[in-house]
Amino acid sequence: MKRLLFIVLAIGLLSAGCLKNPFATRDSELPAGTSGTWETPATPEVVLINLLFAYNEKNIQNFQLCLSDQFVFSAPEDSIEAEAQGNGYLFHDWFKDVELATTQNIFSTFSESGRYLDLILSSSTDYPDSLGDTLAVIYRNYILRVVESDSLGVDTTLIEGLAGFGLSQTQFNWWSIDFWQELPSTRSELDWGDFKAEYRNR
Amino acid sequence: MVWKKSVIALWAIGWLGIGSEVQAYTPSLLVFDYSQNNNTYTWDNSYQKAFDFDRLKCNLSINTNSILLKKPYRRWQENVGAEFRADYDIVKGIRLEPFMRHTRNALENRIVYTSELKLAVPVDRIRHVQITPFVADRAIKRIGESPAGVDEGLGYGVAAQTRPMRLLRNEVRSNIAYAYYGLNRIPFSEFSSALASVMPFASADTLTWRIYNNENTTRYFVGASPGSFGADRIARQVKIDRGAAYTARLVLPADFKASLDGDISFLSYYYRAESTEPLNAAQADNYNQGRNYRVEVSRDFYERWRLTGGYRYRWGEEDYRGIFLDQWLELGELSFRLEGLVFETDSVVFDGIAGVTSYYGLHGNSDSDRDLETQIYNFRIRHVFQPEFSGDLRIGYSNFHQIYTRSLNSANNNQNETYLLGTTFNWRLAPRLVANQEFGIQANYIIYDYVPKPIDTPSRIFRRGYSRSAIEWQVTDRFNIVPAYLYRYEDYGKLIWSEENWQQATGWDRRYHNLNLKIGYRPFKDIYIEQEYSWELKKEYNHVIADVSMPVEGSEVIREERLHDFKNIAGVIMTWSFSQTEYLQLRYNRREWAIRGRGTDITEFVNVSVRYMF
Repeated sequence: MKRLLFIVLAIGLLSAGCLKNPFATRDSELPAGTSGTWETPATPEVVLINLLFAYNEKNIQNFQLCLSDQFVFSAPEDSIEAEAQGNGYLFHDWFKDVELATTQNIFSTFSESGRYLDLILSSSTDYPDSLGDTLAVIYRNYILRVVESDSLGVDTTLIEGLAGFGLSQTQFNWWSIDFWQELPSTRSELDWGDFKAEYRNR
Repeated sequence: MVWKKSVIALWAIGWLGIGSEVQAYTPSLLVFDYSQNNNTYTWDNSYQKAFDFDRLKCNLSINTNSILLKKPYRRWQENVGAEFRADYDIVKGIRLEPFMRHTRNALENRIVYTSELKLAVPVDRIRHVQITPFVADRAIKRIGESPAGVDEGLGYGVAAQTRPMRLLRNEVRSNIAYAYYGLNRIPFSEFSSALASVMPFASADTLTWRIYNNENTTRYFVGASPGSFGADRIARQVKIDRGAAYTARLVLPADFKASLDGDISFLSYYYRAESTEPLNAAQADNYNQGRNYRVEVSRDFYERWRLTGGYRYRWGEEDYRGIFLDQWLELGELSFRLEGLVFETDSVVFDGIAGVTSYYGLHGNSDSDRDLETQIYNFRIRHVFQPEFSGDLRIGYSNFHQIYTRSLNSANNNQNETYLLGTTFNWRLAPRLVANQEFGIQANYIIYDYVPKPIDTPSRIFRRGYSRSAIEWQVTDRFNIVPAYLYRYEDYGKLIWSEENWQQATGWDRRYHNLNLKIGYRPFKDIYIEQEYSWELKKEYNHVIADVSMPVEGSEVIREERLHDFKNIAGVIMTWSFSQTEYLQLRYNRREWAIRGRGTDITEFVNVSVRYMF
């Protein structure tokens, strides 16, 4: 009975075409140019510089290298507001896959003609960076400039606020972002968390 | 047959989530916790009380949480919740389960109240089925929000769950549930069903499987422009979550043991506009689906060795909007593990994983098509020199090779290789004195496949070494001291291919010293005091090219201090234990952090925590 069961399952597995050579890789084409601005993230600050360039260059490959597999995004104030309006799910379970899909939507949207997005990051005087041996917390003031133009004119929106980034250094990898938190700020009504949530797929 | 009952019980709990809503034996508990640091004050209190009056069992739970943030401006956040559950045996096989919950969540002037009343009647009089209908009322009131108002409505539903039934040697269970809440603004419904079985056979073989289907429908409001969550459009969302999984454990001929696991899953979201305006791009129908299989075979040899080999396959497909992330992937992975005793005093573990994950565009070739080749190998040997002296040696290697196939991204193709070597020794010098020594070095190379210029290379090397020494001295039964010293060295720089060899051009180096002293003292049987002092010094140097005139004019690499910081940390914890699970704990920490050129930052942390059961 058991031998039969094992054979049936093994045959089922094989017949379903569920085998892939664990050593075979594909060839690659010669590079057409450099792939954006990128520095190996040997320190936590470099990760934020890479994130800045990835955003401004709309380079999703470099952006995803800034995030760890355990990545979580949290915007407590935005999620409370969204919850009150029946949209709380926009901020639920915001892990790496959600962050990548959302950011790709943003990059795709602002790669179209007539739309422009740039990001400025600067250190916060109220929140100094805390750099540990293998863990770090970095705070950055941000300004997102969103420009949308059409035949009627140009509409520019400034999104300002403060973000906190928790980073860690793993044994086999370099520094990457585990935790990204939108911090309460009175600088503008619209913040980065609200902006990102509008581009989230569910 | 005891193991069979255990397997079935665990399976029932784990796969069907079976359990009464009323935890009649939850201990009565009072918890008080207060903490503060330079910017935040936090109060966490909870009270739980269980009542047992034979046919009536009740649980009362009250939780409060308050947070005061001082910067960037003073903000209060308060959450209060009270919950009551009961379970009353009306007659044999029919029970009443009333449930009440009220919460208040406040953030400055914004307040949200929620209330829920629910009455469930589990009926247990039918031979194979337990049926639980319920009615409920739920209300959410918002103050200071836009749009403010009350969202209220009645809810109803029914759940049915079968008892284990023997069917063709299978112990089969199933459940099905439907719930609808007709809230006036955001109504929603939930449907779930599952069918599962466990089949123990032969002496130690089992096959478990499960099929499930969950569907949720809800309405919600969509904003018209970025950042506006205004209720100007209404959408209906339907979520479908389906899947199946199996696990088999088998004893094969020649004492081989096999383990097979597999699952398939499908998750999708559908959106329909309920107004004339079209939905935002983000409300696009999307789905992902996947399947996983794993086969593992192991065998014991000579009662000392165990060899395990396995293969894992994964396939997945994600379709969002016909964009970058629409992809399918395939993984094939081999794994092995050899563990055993060489001699009575030597144990060895050697394991490894090798595999490739390939990503493909879902709608044809994509610039993100790539392979990720993974290899991880670890070897560890532990030797007991004497009963008082033992040590182990660890060697590790990993390589992650990222290969983008298209020219647009292939400049990023690189191999990320890491080599590890480490040792640990433990030596009991005297009955109350143990010495520990740990040492490790690591070299991490990132080598790009396509390097445009040998000097201006993106390839990098990161090296790290550390040594930690500690003494554990149990001075008396009530007094112990643990001094420790940690030294770490790191450097980082370019990796240049020159003269047919890799050359390192160091960009910076970092040295880290940490001296730590822990003192534990038990003045009375129930009171334990632990003090900790820590001194940390971190220095970082940039390696820069500077012009020099002596002894001859030219340039050379000099080390230039980039960072010099010193941390002085002191802490004390006093714990008064009333019993194994009850205590009063006081904790204080102070950190002085001096960064050269940036002044000194002082941080203090205080915590009082009480846990009392009655």
